[in-house]
Amino acid sequence: MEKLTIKTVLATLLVLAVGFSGQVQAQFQSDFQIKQNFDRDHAEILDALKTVQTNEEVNQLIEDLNEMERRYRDDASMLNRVLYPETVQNRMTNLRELAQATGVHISRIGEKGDTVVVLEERIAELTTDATRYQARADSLNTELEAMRRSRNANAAQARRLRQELDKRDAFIINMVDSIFVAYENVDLQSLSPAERRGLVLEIDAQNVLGHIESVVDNNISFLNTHTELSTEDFLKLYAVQVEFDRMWENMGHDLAEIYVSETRRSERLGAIVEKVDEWQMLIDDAAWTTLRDGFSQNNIELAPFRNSLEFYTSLNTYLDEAIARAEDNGSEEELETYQHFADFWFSDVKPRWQPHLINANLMTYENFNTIDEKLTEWKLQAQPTSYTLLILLGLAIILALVFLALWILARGQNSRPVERR
Amino acid sequence: MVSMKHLRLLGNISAAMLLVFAVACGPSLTLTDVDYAQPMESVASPDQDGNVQDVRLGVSFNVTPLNVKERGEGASLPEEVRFIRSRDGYYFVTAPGYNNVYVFEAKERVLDLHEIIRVSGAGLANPAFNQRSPYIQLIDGDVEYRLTKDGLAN
Repeated sequence: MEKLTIKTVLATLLVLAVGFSGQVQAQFQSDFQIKQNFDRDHAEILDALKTVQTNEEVNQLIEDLNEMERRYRDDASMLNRVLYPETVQNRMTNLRELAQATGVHISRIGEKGDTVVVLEERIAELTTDATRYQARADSLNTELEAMRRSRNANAAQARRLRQELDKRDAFIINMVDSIFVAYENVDLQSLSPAERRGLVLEIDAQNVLGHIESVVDNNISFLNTHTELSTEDFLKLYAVQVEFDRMWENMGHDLAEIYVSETRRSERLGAIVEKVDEWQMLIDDAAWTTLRDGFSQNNIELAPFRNSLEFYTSLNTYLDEAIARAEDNGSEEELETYQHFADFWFSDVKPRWQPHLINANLMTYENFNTIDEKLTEWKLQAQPTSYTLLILLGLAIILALVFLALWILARGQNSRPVERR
Repeated sequence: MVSMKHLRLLGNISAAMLLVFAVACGPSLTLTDVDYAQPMESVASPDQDGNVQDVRLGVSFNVTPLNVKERGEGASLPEEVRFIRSRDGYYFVTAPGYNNVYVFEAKERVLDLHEIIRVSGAGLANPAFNQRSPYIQLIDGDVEYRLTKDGLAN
């Protein structure tokens, strides 16, 4: 009991001593020093908020803020005077709101984090590929130039070159597509300005709009140089142009917003749009000319057409007329005409052109079905009329008449009254 | 007969009386309950000429004469000077190493020495002023002094 009392007394004395020294310390603090400390603590939390990475860290900072608020509560009046027009409360509220906003931001980044990582990986991958393709494209362009000067270039060479360019075009379109899809998946607003700037710079290094423009340039150059390609080749190119157009319509403006400064944006967009239009005009002209030639070379004279609607109308008109003609006069000759068209249609058009016509949105599967149905109808109507059939039909009618006559005769005999003897 | 000379004298006297009357009746207005208290001391480093200033408060003055008085001719300037203005408008100035706090009355473009308060024999180690109206608190480590414009408060 005595020990306990001594212990208690000693503990009490210790507490009093500590308390007293604390009081002395607290009593003689310099206001200037308090203000310095407050500024330092404020700056430390602000700096920490700029680099905070996790929600746990944010929560810790909010705890620190609460502790800081408690620590300066007694000096708030003095601090308010020296912070004027701000106040301690005002500063703490700002820090707290900033911490909460940072927490929300980190949560969002967490949700989108995987997508960002994927995007960054994809960009890194594309960066390597883009460099490789750019080098290849440069050499292809040199070849193109050489071919333009030399008229000896043959279709096989052109096709090989085209295949190389196709690979690059497909790559560029895919690249832009995947970047855009990735961007769509990332809520850009949820990224910090630094993160967003990082992503943009990363992709900007590849000069997205420059790549896009080079696709258009190469195609214009190619179309101006080569007219000897097959219909299938031109239809393929048409499909590339349509795919490009789709991509450009979807994201051209958005990409320009991200990668081109506002002052140059309209000019840059205008230049690309002009080239895209030129490409469209060239491929349009080349594709319809070669399609017309394709039918003509097979002695199928369609009404002139210059676009997909006219082409489809022309095909339908040709078949409707053929069906009407066959209805009036099915014959061996008509059947031969049908067969000729059907051979071309089923051997060339459908296996070689149909996929590209559909890819290029020039025709639909329904359009092809309609044509197929009309071909079936034409085939039926084109069948020549058979004389044997006519004879058989005549015989059948005669037989029917004979049986009818016999039946009437038999009936007449049965109805005659029996004579009585 | 009143001569011309007398008339001129009379005129001059009248003019002087009018002037005195006008001055006596001129604009006169006094604002009371003025509180000059600076909420927190200023801490400033003297430049090579001995000038110190608090940009925020817009106050500047030269501490060289003060330093001469405290330390003697040719003594180096202190690294920092601490000053604060009391509620009644007096400036309290001191610096580390000083034995005294100097109290100045603010006048037209001058600070007029009002009082020297001796607070240390060996020089202040780490002095700091706090505004504790009606006093100015001077602290130096664990020691506290309560100052008024006339000296140490009781």
